[in-house]
Amino acid sequence: MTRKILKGWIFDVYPVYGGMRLWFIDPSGQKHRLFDSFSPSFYVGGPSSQLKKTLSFISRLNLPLRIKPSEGIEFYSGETIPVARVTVFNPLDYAKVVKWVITLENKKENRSLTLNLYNCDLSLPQLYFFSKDLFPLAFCEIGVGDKGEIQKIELMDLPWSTDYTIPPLSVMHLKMEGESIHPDQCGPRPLEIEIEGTTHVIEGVSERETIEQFNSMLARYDPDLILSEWGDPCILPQLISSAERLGLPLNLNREPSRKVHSRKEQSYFSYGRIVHKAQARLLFGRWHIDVCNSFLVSHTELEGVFEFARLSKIPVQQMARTSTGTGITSMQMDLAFQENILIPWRKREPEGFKSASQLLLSDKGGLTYTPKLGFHEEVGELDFASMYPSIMVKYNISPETINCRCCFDNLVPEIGHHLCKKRKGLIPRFLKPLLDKRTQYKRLMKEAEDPEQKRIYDERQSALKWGLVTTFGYQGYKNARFGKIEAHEAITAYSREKLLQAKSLVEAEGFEMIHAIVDSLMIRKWGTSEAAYEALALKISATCEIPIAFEGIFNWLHFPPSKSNPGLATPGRYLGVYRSGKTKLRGIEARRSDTPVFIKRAQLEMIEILSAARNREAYQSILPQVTDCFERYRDKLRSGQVPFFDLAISKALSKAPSEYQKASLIAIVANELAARGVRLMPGQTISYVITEMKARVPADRARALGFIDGAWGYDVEKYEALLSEALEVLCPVGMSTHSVRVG
Amino acid sequence: MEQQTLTESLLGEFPRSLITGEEGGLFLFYGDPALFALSPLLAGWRLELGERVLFLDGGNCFDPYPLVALAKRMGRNPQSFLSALFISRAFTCHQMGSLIFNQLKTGIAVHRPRLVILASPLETFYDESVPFIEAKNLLLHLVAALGQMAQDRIFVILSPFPRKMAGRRAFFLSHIKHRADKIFRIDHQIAGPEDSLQTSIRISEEKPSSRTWVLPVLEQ
Repeated sequence: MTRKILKGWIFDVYPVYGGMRLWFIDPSGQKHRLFDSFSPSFYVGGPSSQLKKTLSFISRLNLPLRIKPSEGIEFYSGETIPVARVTVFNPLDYAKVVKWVITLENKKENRSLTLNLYNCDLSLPQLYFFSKDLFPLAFCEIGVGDKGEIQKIELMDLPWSTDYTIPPLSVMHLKMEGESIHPDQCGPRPLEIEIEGTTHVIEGVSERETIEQFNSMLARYDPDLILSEWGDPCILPQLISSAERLGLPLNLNREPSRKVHSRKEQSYFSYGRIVHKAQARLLFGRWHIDVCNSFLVSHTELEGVFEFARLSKIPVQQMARTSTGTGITSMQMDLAFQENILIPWRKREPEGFKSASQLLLSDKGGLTYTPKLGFHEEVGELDFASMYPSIMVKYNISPETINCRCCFDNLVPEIGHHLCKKRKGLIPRFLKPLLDKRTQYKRLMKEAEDPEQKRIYDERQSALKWGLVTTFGYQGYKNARFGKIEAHEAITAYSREKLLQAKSLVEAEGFEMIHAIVDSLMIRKWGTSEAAYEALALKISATCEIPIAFEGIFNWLHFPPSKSNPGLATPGRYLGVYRSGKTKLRGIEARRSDTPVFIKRAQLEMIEILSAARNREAYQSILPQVTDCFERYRDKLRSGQVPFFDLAISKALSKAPSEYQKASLIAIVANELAARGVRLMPGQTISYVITEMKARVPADRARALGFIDGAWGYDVEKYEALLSEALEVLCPVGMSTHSVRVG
Repeated sequence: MEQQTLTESLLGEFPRSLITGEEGGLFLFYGDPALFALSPLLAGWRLELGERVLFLDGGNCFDPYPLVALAKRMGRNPQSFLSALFISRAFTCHQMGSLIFNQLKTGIAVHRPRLVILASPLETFYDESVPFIEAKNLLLHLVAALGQMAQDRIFVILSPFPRKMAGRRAFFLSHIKHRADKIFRIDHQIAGPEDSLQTSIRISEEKPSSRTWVLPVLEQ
């Protein structure tokens, strides 16, 4: 019998014996620890002789499970096929059963008679949410029995809703005192905890007292979210290890019987470079999010994480640490799940054989027109809106629709692949509502008057933008569940066609091409009004059948010379100011992640001065002010008073410290850190200050930011050179800043 | 003067007999990444005879330019080479498995190649997101299948040294060595006085016999 009805938000979900633990927060902020019975299933298909053997093996396992004949839709063919549904009554046994089946499969001699496993590698929270049609942070009404067992859940929210609310969360901020430097790459610092507007610094006490004080704050405030800086790789591991060593409890989890879940760090290759993924510390019944270990938080704040968690059905803590690619894959898997499409385990479909000449034709990216070098006025910008996703939706591009068995006449331009006209693909079906939702957020953002609401909509649309971008990339990504290289090729083929069509059209209208790259055109016809550009955008949209938006007219747009070839400009490296006063910067120092804060600040200030210029003459007349600004910064450098933190250069290690053979600055500092006992993995970022670039002893050339002290100075000459480079980018050929001299 | 590719540089030097005159077999070339310069040569000799060649690419490493340059050097129309070399890329070890266990049969039936090149197949097996045991089992079966298929045509595996991060997966190359009929190690050497450094490719046959060739690399 239902004892009470709760209204509120689903906060956290994880497997326990016989079902799922569900943490629920009601509008007053009260937390409820509930239980929902749940038995996950996976499917096995394949040749019947193989299938029989496997199922008979599974049924001999001494575990409560049920095997039932079932059917599902095979993703690539679209055909309904017979499969066996294996339901594991206790979710805690699920991984074990799946692993046994995989092991059995791996041992098989005849590899052409493979069994096909489906839906078997989804996480249990994902399976739970998919099966119950729920999602993280969903607002619902729950009927609960005496012992906290859920008897019914009524969803009062939709993942596609744009006006949803978030539970009232109590947040504890956790960091090491001082600047945000990786705690492993600097000396010891006290723990700083901020909650309810008060900052507490735990210092000058023993390890035991630190743990006790921390525990007492957890008990007093009972935070829902611990938002840390470097909590994953350093702070939490240190606290946990201290507590274990001293035999003290550490009440990070709300679930008393569980230990903090750890995930190992790893380095891996991605797009030809090495990437480091820090270890993770995940809690039960409480969230821990490390802002320094989350792509989504760093790009879209917490709102972006919430948006993605709701749509992907990946719990918030995991979503914060995973890639947007994993997020969009989960959304696609959810759609497949709801439509009884069997989710294949491991991507197996290889590329079909194609001749080298076909490969040359098809394996191209987007189109780029080299920008016209120098300073331009009155340039209009037109951008195809979410070009790649729009193409996927418009032309039905999806792994199962590309080179289908039926529609040989529906050809992709230039490359000869064909696309299905009969079956709507999974990717376009998944993308359409995502594109619509982003459009809605952008509209809401424009309409909102409250800046806070504006910010929220902006962060959410930004998260969706990352999802849309990733959807295209994932078509070519090796581990994408629903990706296929031929689909990737088809998308870029259409994009080249669209850009060529747009180019022909604008040139026919008398515009001059200044630059074009993939989905964006920069064009000019003197005296063209904004209304005329809007009309042109409509015309291109109609011709190309993909919407293009007029972004604005630049008062000025500058493409600086390439560093390696001063006679040419580089695509994707420019700065400009729209008539609205908004600046657009790409590829220059202020945008680069390895530029010291001091140089970045200086360049932004100089650009701010230049943004007042409306034309070439004004720009030239303002340049002396820029020179003044440059000199102010140069004088600061020369005074020796610039803080090291502002001069730090951060770069990722491409290999382990011992593998560097040349004494590059990054190698010098990596070895300094290694000598101090800091364990560094390839892909990890380290920060350093250039102390004396030309020093005879390599170790004197640069020092790790976290350990540099007042005994060291910085290399004024080198930083002046960097500052000069930041200035030079702003000085078009033929315009002079006169008095600027380095040295 | 047009730049010469490493492949062209080796054209007149490579001991062609190493690979021609054999009906079938599983041949392994491993070592320095310079070994990829050999694949256009190996393919070129078959393409020159009007045959088709299959190229299974595990490292997304197929480079058409040396093949085009080689065709020109051989006095052939590059297009005839490019349209007779058939490529399939695999980005995961499971795709590589599926390519070899399933798709390759069709490829062989359609194109009837006497030479199949596998470039960097192990690259897909170094992916740590696939558990070691799973990758290992798959590789053992895959190499066994290749051994079977290599009875009536030549399979050439080009595999650079395992990268440092390969860890215990470095064993995979040893396993291929164990099953290969012929093994050649490739080293890229730079030697001589500082003002006139000489570059060469050293090919050391490790199985079945033990021989070495040092091929000078001409101006590039």
